Amino acid sequence: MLIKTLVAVFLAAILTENYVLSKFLGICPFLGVSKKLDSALGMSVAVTVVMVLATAVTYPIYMYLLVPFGMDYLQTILFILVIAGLVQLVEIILKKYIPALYKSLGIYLPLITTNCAVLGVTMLVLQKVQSTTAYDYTYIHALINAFGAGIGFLVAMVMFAGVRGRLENADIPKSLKGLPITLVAAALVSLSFLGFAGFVDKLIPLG
Amino acid sequence: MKKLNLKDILIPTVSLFLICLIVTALLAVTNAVTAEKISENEAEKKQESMQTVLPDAVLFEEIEIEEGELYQGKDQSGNTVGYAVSTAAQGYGGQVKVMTGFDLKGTIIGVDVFYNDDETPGLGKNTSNESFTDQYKGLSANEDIAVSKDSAAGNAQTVDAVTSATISSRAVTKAVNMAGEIYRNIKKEAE
Amino acid sequence: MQKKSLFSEFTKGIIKENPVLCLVLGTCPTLAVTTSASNAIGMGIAATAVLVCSNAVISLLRKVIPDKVRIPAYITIIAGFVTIVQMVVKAFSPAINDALGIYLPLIVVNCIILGRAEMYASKNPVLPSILDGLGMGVGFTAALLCMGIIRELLGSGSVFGVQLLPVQILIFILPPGGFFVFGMLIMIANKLNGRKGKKAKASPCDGCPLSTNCNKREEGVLDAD
Repeated sequence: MLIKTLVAVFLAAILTENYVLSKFLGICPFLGVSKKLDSALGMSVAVTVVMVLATAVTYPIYMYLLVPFGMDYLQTILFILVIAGLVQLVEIILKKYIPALYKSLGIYLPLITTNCAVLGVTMLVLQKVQSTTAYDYTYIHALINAFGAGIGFLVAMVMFAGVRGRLENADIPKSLKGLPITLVAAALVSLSFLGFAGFVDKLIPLG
Repeated sequence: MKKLNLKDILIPTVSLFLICLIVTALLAVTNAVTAEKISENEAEKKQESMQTVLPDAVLFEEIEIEEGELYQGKDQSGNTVGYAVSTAAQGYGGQVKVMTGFDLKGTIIGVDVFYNDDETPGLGKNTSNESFTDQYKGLSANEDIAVSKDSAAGNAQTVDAVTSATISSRAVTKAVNMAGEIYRNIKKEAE
Repeated sequence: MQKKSLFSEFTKGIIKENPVLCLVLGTCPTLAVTTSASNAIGMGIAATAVLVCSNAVISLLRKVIPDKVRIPAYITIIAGFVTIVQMVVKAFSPAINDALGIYLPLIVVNCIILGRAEMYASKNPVLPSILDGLGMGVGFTAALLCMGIIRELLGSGSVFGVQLLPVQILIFILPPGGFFVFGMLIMIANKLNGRKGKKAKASPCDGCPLSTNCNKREEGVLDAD
């Protein structure tokens, strides 16, 4: 049962609740860094790592510190500071111990602090704890959800990098060039993700 | 490598700490001022919703149960006229919260979807329209209700889903069924 | 003269440097909450309030905050104001709070706000900073409202909840419609700017407060030490 719910949470986070394409979180990097495949990949991996780490830290802080003391109004400010701190920490650690990885991922890290997808994940996961009624939404579910959200971000970025590669050579009106045509392409990609609605519920019926 | 100066570390740390302290203090003050009003708003919303599903009742008394919220509705002379049950289910975008009113025979008097703001506007959000919720009126709490699309198994009680919003419609139906279960339990205990 | 330049601080954000359509900042809320005109206004006003307050405070403290920790300090101040706005909205307009949901606390990471703090308020006196924030906020609200009206009209056939059209093209209030309408609006903005002989922004990263940081690194100036 636990495995089943975990798989459902994971698939839903990638397909039906895709943060970029259906929740509009993390649009800036989605439009900004998806020009080339390798930078799209690097950014997504960095986002995934920070998402999981941030959720791992903020979930216990919220559940065991803020809620018992009735200070949940500090959620926004605390979460954003935790994320900013984590990003710095990851950057320092990578720089010191795995310089090769730092060279490929490090450039994306400072951008992540203001990436709303990361803050969004940490907050939405906590909403789910209350709203999921079919089963107990535990710490593991939260982590898997964060991981799935990161993978969903990766899928969207990589797919979109491919689409944009095609756009480079397309002959389009001058005023559409650049961002407008990119957004129209994003509309089509997100349209395709609409097809996943209800997919996970049908695949893995719960409760 | 530049030599680390104590002053260079101390001043930024202290000033950042002070900023955090001041901001937190301000937040605590704002929270103290607004908290009462916020809980008042929520209570008001719930009260309105209970009134919609149990129009005959004037007073609602909460009965403690393990899951969901149960209110006993009484009329002016203190007679119980029915029960209002608040339940929630997972919809398309997030939680859907539903208030269901039952009379003493277990017939549904009214259903009110009082929170569905995470659903898609124009689709799932339409589940709070009366044209959808009125379908539940008159159905019985003793048997589960299904969305007509899903009732291949032959449920006797069905409602038609809102067009293109089957998931949200299912969520509301599920919440109503949960309410029915809570109602049945409280009836059993009373007997 | 003084008056005129202050006035231009206010107006530049509305047309010439519109944060959404010309600088392409704050795209997430622009796409997410513009499913109806009233949501768009609610978001616009909330963000404007945060922007004006944070610009004012950051400008006041610009000589006090040490340079090293300025970004975390700005984020703390902005997050504080966002939470205050959130509590006030919850208390006095719960319907807007419910409609904006998670996107209300997410104003914290709206790059317009941190961007204005870093690019303007940290270098200018209080009064111009407030006007700059107000102008940018109004520009943001106007762009959101524009999107909101188009999407609500086409998607649900109404504007501010008043039914105007008998047909509804649902796709416009779904995510793809958001991307599409935004693309079209930027195209129009590009077209208008192009006519005046101005260069359109090449990359959406240009307006991002951290972009100088990341572009420099991308070009390989990475190894500083």
